[in-house]
Amino acid sequence: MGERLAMNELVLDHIYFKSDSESILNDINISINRGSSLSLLGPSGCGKTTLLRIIAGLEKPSFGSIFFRGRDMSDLPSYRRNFGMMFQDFALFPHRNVFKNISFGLEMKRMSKKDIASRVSEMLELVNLEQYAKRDIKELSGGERQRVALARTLAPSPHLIMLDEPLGALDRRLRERLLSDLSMILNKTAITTIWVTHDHNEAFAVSDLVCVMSNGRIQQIGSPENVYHKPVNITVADFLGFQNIIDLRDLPESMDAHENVNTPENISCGAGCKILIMPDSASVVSEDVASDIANKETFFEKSGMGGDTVISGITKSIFFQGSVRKISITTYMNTVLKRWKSDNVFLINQNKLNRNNCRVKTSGKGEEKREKQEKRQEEREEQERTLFFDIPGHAPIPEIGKPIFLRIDRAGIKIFNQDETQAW
Amino acid sequence: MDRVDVVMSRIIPIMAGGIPVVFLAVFYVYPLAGIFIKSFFDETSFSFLSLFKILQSSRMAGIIWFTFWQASVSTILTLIVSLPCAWVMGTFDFKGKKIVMTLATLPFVLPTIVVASAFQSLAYSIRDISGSSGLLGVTQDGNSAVADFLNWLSSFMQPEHSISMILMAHLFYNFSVVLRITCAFWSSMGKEMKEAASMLGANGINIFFKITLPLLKPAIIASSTLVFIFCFSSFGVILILGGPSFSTLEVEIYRQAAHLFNLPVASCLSLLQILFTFAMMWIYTLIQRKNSRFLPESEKFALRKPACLSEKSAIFLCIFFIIALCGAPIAALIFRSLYYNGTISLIFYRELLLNPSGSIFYIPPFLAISNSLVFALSTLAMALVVGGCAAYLIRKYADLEPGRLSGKFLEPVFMLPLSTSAVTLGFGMIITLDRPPLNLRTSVVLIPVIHTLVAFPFVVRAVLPALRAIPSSLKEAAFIMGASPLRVWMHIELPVIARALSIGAIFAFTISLGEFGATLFAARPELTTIPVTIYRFLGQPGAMNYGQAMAMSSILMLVTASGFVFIENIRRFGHEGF
Amino acid sequence: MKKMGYLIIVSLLTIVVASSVVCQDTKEGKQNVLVLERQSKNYDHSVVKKITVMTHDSFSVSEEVVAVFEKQNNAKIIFLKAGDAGEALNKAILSKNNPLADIFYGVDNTFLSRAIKADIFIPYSSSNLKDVDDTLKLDSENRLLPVDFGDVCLNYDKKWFAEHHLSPPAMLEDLIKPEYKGLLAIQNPATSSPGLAFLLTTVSRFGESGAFEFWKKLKNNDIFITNGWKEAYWGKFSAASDGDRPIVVSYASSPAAEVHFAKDKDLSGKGEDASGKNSSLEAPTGVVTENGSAFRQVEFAGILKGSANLELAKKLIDFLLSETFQEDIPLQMFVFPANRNARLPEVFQKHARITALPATLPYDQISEKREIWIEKWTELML
Repeated sequence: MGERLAMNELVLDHIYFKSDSESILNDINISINRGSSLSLLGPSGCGKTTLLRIIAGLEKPSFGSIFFRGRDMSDLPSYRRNFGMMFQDFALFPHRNVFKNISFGLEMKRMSKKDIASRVSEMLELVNLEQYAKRDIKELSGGERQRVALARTLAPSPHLIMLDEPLGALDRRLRERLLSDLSMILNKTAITTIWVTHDHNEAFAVSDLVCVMSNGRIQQIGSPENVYHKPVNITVADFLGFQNIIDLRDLPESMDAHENVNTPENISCGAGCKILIMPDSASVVSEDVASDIANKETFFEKSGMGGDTVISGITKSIFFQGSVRKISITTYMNTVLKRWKSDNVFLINQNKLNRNNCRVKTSGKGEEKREKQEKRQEEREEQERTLFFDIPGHAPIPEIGKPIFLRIDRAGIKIFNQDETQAW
Repeated sequence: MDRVDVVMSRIIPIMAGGIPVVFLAVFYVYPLAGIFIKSFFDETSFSFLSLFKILQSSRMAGIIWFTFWQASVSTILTLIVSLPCAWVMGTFDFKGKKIVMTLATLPFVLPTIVVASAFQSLAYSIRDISGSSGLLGVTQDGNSAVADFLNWLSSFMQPEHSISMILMAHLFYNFSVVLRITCAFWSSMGKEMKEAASMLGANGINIFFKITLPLLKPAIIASSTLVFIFCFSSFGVILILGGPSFSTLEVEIYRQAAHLFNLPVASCLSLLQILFTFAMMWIYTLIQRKNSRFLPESEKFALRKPACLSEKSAIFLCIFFIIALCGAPIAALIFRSLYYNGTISLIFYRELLLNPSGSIFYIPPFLAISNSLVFALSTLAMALVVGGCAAYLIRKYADLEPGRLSGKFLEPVFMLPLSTSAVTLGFGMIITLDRPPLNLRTSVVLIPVIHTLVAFPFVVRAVLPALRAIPSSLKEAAFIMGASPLRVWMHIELPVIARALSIGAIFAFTISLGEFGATLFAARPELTTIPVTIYRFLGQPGAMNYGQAMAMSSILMLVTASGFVFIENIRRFGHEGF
Repeated sequence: MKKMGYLIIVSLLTIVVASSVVCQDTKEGKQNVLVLERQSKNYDHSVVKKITVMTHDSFSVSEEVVAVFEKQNNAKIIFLKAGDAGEALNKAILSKNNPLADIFYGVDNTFLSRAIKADIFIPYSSSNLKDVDDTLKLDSENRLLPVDFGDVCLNYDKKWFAEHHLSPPAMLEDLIKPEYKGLLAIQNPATSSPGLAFLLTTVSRFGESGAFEFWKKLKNNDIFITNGWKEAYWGKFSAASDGDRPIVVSYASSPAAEVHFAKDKDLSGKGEDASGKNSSLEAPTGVVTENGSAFRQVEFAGILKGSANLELAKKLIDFLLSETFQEDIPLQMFVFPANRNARLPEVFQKHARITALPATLPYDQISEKREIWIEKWTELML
């Protein structure tokens, strides 16, 4: 423990917070290195802002301690912690102009007028607002206000700087530009930073360490890459914006989905199971290749690892985004699920495709069972599903309304147990 | 479609702006101009020399000095007392807050003579308590201080004519003005500014003086301007509680106009009073202009439960203080209305329903109540419309186009009716509003009109800070999203100013309920209001009359309190702060 | 919106129910039916002539008396209260080019000269003037006709004097005696009409210079001055309030009012008529009227110039001087009727006395000197 305290800039040790008998934070443990940047990521109401306020000293934890550079901060009031905080809507003082806003913290430090003036102009230079010193706050645009708020926060040289949804109040275009400005300025100052955000892209862009929170608990803490590629549970995956999550509970009874899906390690993954298909794990293949893959024995049985899965569907939309194309396809639950369900791994809803005036060849094995399948399917309430994928920009462009066949990397499919831990 | 847009964007603002201007022109400027012209040019025996002689007398200088002095001291005293209470009310959420708030505003409606009586009976009961504790022999060393305090308190509360009585009554009346306006502002200020300052290293004291106070400045200045002007033109308090040795401009105007019928002097003094008020408002506007009027964008109500013992005791102290200041005299008054021959009895209330002498001016209490309510509600509606439109007009011409001279006059001008001598204005109305279509001299309409003249500046003062706090970006955003001006107003501005409007509404309602002078303009038997009834009872000797006056005062407070409940429930937005 | 409506209804209902619950207890609840009846009475509007009476706040008259006149003349009287006595007269003067009313009621002898100077009244010698004492007729041209009078005098708290074994004052001179130190409450003559009347009493009694000598001594004897009658009577007078002053300047009829509006009214027989009620009680207060210590205030009524209804106005003036109206005056306004034939109610007969030799001053002297005296008084006393 002692070592941990000494090594880390900020250590949160078993923080609990209760308000009106409602548990807001539960056993929060975080350590941050000096000069690094941490993002608290989570949906609203997850406790991230409360945690930030506890670090700032604006709230007192119900239990647990905060150590900064080895020193227990618990009893230190916020104004003596020398932490900086940038508020969601900036909380600029409307009765003070830009200069006076930035100088406030310096005045509180009882710096001389001369020092204050030079420090403020230094700050204004840093945020590129040299001409704005005498401006009134209400004359500033949103972006300018943000930069003033940042300059004000940085001016007293805080040991730690916290940003509560610093871009939340701004419109999207401004956000993207300011995000890079902000992280650039912060990098320049090399101060330990804590961001609070609900936008994972923002979190990934600015921080060394991402801490995903939900319901007052830390769900996952790690590098952006780690969190993105290996979400520890479906909550994290969901929050990271992964849309291709299939809940087996959603399936109609007749799909026999309540029957266990057999996975190689024989993990029981019943009806409560959720399956995540990573959007960047797909590549477009021809129908032949697809059926070729599909006709192979299931990869589970074959090797237990490494096999690919094919998903077919109808292209719904395509967005070109430079290096990738974002596509959405309409498919049916069974075409995804049958992959695990039986030997007959590859199935296309013939009727549906026919209706869309599109004939699709199916494999022989599928042919034999076709009529039987058709009958069964007619009886079913078929579940249409939209899945989203990023495919490389240089790949052939799929056509909207036409069938599409996607090969999914083995690593791109993750199965989570009922208790939301990753099963496989 | 285009036509509709033109109506929305052009005609409606012009009409809305026209309402307060026309209202003020017809019911204020025209009658006053009429009486001034008449008194200066119509009197044959009048000489400017004698006028100047009167105005230059040392007595007049003393009156002017005293008027300013008592108004300033009363305002400062009210601020000192009500700001801590406003902090408690604007910061914390606790049970019984609405009751306390209502209690604080009730004095506003009480006739001065009734207040004097309430103070007095309270003083006597305190004296009785301190006296009886002395008799019981508990006045040992430890308790003598308590007894001394009670003795001092009872002697202080005696309505002997003294300056302390005037100040106390002004505090009693105006406490809620500062409390309500500041408290609403305080609670909407949120805690973010303070937290930001704290993060920048400011401790509690620094936060208060460098952040909270400057941010509250618009509300504090707005409410203290109201209080100052109210005390500046104080009449009943000075006359009844101050006694003959104190005289304000307003009292002197009344004396000159009503008793001496010296209209030139009365008009001259009225003009002086108007000029003083205008000058004060002008200065106020200049100060306000320098102030940044930007407020936190959202109207967040950061009320919280008290966390620690000191906060709880602050709340306790605040409640205790309000009960002591406002609750105790009110309780004494209610007690007197129920106390008969050593027992509690409803006889005075029962007697209200009787007209033993068969007087034509008798009115059953429920009719007086309904008259009062009708006038109060029409005043409320008129004051909201006139005051609301006036606030928009000021915002449009004075704030957004500061270059225009006409705009600069607007704000001071709209405050003038508050401090204009009622008797002068009344005389003016008699001689000007005497021909169709404005033959209103004896019309019922005149009563709510006069009440509105006094009430709408309150609406302006309450609404303007809120209106100024609406960032234009909010409106622009709504326009871009395709909302029509009306819809923008309905959905963006109205919710933001609703809270301020309701404060204005409360004051308009209370002013109208408690107003007595103007009601007499057209005091016909069937139009009698509660305050007029109270005065009728107090006009003749006899214990029954006194008891009934107390009973009627209690009913007046009950009606006022139910009015508050009603107004506060109309407002569905901004559920906190009252 | 619905919720709002309910709230109005609920709050109004509460008040109405509360008052009607109180009402149930009273057996005499009938009387307010009369008031309601009046409002629903059907007048034939095509023939009914309207006549407006402008008056001051203290004016009152009973329903039945008004009805008598209205029925006789098929007319409707509208009463217009226009503030206190001074304010009301000033309003009448200001509106003389376009009068507000046909008749003005309530010019008293201290304001008489102002009214006559302003020339707003039409002379009318009512035949009923024959029943009025000549001493009350101050306007020889009968532009203003005396309708009632009251005597302003000292009232004292009987109980207080009994308890303190002190005899009540008998005349003005007593007030400057040391034993009466700190006992008297008076009104400011600049703002109150009984206050002015009391000042005039002293002038009448001691002469102009003697009066101010007297006031000087009075000041040393610790008197309490209020701006109005209400504050003095309800705030300082020991018989009517928690105040500590057992002597106050009020009216000679005040003891009658004290009895009439006594708390203990249920002690008296319930069968008696309104005027007889309580009259068997002893008045808690006494008056000092002898030795020129009561000043007579006479109130006048007159027809305003420009009245559109001269004939009816004359009839109303006759009516105001008639016994029907005159007998109603005492219990409505607690002053004495001008008509000597008017029978006084029992409570007046027992508890109010008409001063035999009241202090008076010629009204032209009052009008000439009034402001000077007030000015002088203010300088001396405040």
